[in-house]
Amino acid sequence: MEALLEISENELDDFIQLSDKLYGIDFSGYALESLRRRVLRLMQLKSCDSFTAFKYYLANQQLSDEELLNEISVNTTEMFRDFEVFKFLKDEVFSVLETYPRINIWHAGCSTGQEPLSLAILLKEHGLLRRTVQYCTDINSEVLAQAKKGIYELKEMKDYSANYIRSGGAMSLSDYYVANYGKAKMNRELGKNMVFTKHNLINGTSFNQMHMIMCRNVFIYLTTAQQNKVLRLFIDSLVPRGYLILGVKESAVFSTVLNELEIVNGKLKIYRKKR
Amino acid sequence: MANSRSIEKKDSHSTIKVVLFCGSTGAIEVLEKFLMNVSQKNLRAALVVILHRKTGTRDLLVRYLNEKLNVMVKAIEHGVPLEKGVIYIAPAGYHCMLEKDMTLSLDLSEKVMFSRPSADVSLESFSYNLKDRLIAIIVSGANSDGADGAKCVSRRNGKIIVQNPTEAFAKTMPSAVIDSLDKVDHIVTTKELYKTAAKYF
Repeated sequence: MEALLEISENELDDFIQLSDKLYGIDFSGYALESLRRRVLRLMQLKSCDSFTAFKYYLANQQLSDEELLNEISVNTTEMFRDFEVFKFLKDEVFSVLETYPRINIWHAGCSTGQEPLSLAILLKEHGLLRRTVQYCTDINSEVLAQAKKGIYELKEMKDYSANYIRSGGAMSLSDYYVANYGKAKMNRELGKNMVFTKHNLINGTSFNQMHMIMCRNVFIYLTTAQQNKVLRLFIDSLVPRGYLILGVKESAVFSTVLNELEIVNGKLKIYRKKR
Repeated sequence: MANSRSIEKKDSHSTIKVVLFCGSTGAIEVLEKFLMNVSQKNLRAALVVILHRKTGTRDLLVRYLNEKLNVMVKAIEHGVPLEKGVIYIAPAGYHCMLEKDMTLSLDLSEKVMFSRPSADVSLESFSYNLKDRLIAIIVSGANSDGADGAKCVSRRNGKIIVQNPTEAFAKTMPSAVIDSLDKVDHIVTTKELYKTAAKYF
């Protein structure tokens, strides 16, 4: 581990400025501790034993913009993570979504696509998939390419499957993928109405009116100020009474725009735009 | 008024002490014994608990402790500010860190020593932002997560208290900490853990 490496606050600031100047990537809205850890990890990965060495490495552009972004951002995700959330959506939210002739859903920070696929399965089981468009965005084009393919490790499907059942899934998860060579390829039908676009939440703008926005485990990497900016963007992108779903350990409680949202389920972090 | 309050808050932030209790296999029993000594009045520090647990475990531990103890027990959510006299439990499946402004933060980056939360990650982050105001306790556990973190704590002048491995259900974790350091502040019995930590807050 990074036990023997150190970077000071000033050095972390230096890193933020260097990435902006040399790579055009703005990390200033990132939560500091997580960022510091990612930088330490990258230093170790590139065998830089001091920040000075790392600065030299960066200054000589030994990484591509994409690589730097991929190494610093965290892309952990899984299918039906926090199954209670999916169960709640299915039991309480789908009946509202059903009232719209066309349903727009935005997965902000979709990573490798497990969440849009999970939702697609439940939407299909409730006859809503064909009139839903799922906008899947991420800052990282590499994970978006993986999301588009919809191919995952077969051994992960076992955990996913248990959570699918606990979410109240009607079938068997294996009905939705083809297994081969140790991989699982999700059925093409699930991804038919998905639109994959590179979008940066740090400076991105609204691009459609959404009935629901899912953005789970992105806020944990952002400063409070940045979280508020993103929440503003989400509120502006939601139809009146549209839903916002954050990560179960994230909270809009500390936000300045909270009065524009109603809490639907505080534990599961499900909110609704007031008007 | 608001102004004076915020100054007061800032001031308490710069002096708050934190006890970071880390453990794995066999640690729950030790934690329970440790907490029997705690009351709102005598806990003049914030207590943060990092235990390896299975992902998906709901916050049963939080509920159980809340019923049993006379102290506020909170499940950690991202952005929660640390307050003294409160016990915070890290959720399964996330790394737990401490920001400079004394708020807790969570992260889903790779597991460390097959663990998330990892004691190494928390010990490194907490000691970075607390320096000598961190009191780290490492108890029973079946892997060596915590040994690297303890080095950071020691280098940054925090205190390290280790459960005597002969008393630990799984001795790998406390032993690894002892082996990784030139000097451990205290190696004590389960019974003495609280008393030893309390000397520092």
